[in-house]
Amino acid sequence: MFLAFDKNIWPTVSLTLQLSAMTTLLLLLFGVPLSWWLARSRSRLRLVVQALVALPLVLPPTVLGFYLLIALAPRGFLGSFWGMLGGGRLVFSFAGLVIGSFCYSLPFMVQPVTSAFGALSDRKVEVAASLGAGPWDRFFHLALPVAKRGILTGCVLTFAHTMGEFGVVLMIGGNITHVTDVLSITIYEHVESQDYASAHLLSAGLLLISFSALILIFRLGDRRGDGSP
Amino acid sequence: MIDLNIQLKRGSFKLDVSLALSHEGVTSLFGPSGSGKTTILRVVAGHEPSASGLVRVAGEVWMDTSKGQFLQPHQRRIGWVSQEVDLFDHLTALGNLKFALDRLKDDTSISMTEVVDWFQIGDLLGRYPRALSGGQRQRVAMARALLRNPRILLLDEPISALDAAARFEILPILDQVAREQELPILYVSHSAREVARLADYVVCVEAGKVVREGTTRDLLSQIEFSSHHGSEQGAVIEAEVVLHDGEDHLSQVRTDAGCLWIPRTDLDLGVRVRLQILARDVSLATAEISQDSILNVLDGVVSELREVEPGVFVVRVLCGEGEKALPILARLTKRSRVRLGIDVNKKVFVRMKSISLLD
Repeated sequence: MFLAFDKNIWPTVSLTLQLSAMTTLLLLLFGVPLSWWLARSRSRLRLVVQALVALPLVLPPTVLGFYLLIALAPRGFLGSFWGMLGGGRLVFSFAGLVIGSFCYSLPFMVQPVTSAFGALSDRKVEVAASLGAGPWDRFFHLALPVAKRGILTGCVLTFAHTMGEFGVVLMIGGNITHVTDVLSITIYEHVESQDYASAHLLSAGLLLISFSALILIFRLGDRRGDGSP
Repeated sequence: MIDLNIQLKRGSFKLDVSLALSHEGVTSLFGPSGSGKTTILRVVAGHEPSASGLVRVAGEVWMDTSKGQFLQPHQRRIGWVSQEVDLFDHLTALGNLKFALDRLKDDTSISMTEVVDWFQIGDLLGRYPRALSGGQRQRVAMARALLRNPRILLLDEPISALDAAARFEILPILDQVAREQELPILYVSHSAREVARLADYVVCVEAGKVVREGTTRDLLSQIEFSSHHGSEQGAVIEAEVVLHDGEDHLSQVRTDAGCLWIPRTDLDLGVRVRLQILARDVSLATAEISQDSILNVLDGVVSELREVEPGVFVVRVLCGEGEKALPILARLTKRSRVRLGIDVNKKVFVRMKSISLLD
């Protein structure tokens, strides 16, 4: 049973890891600058953006998934735009899953990074400017190093959160073998078909990964006062 | 040369300041908190984009809103140190210094070893800011500010959060740097003693306006201005150490109006010092008294007098000749004043019971 199981599981694991890695990378590129803006801006728009970013924390994944399904559909606003760029179908595709995960995991990157940036006082940013550092220089050589731990925390959280995502994937990805059948969906399938042994194995795997991720995060947060930054 | 003409409105607070400072050395912005002193520094540094007017430092125009000119903060050569901990925590002391030096690019006129030497921070370079004491941090912060090779140094109560010992360490270094580097310094303070010790020129700011300005010597000897200092009211004069008398534990200093004796100091001969002579330690006489315990007597002419509280007069006496005449304040009772017939232009002997060295 175990061997037979093995053959089917690796594409699923690999797909899940790819999705998590891709989502983390994109959120790193987009979420970190957004967090910097959120931490520094005094614009009134900031509150709106902050609320939008936090929405996935309170909305049922099905609601988010439903709207994403509509937006990603060939005639939806993202779907048609993607089509204009020459992309294929977004719903029930890997690209669609990445978009979904991106939205769903956004707060998990933005919140720790924003609060890490928030710990940097205005005064220090101004001092950096007076020492000759322009806006980009300040971002790369002051803000990023100071927020290093927050960014790492955001990455780990995003990665782990994407690995365990279920509702949004179900709504926009379906369960297409080797295209959108990520781990959490596969577990659901196994339970449905009463294959508890497989469900156990996958669940235990996910549990272990999430637990390790959290240990890692708490260790990052714990390394204060030992003389090194 | 620093030209400032600044207007800024924030809520009910209005800043409207016009200053032309030809003075090299230390200019003190002096006044109560909330008067706008720090805001003036922020405008000079370029951190108040809503300000209008003109900022010109050492011939460079940094802001001229009438011509739409505004130089970004990182393009202005300033050294800026406040009372807060400004060092970057994620860098060592050396990393903090390099942050400034690395951004100077082709400018090699300032050297790390020299600055490290001035502030005596060679042993601290490998430490992170949190492992430094308050005084050490401020020394590193000032060294970092100088490594920017600034055209002007902006100091916003840089030592007010420190204890007396740490202040004592930093003030002489600052004094020396200001003079040797010929670097203009804008020094925000609400401590009269710091002003007396350090400033060459004083600008009094109240409610966003300049209410009074002048050299430290002139201003501190103005009766009205110095009355704010209460019992600390007194003249501040410059002098040079010329002689040590080891046996009597005295040192002699030379002022523009003659020589004075002060308690023995360890300073080298030739060093310039500042002395404070409190008005309550000075008495006046109309004739020379030969047999007396007082060591320091100068003669002068009364230039101004005012009743500062009922029955108490403060008298300003100019000792010496012409431009360089030394203003000294004396406090005396109304009765003494009447008995001695003291009035403007009266010749008097100024008798100083105590003179203290400002450090």
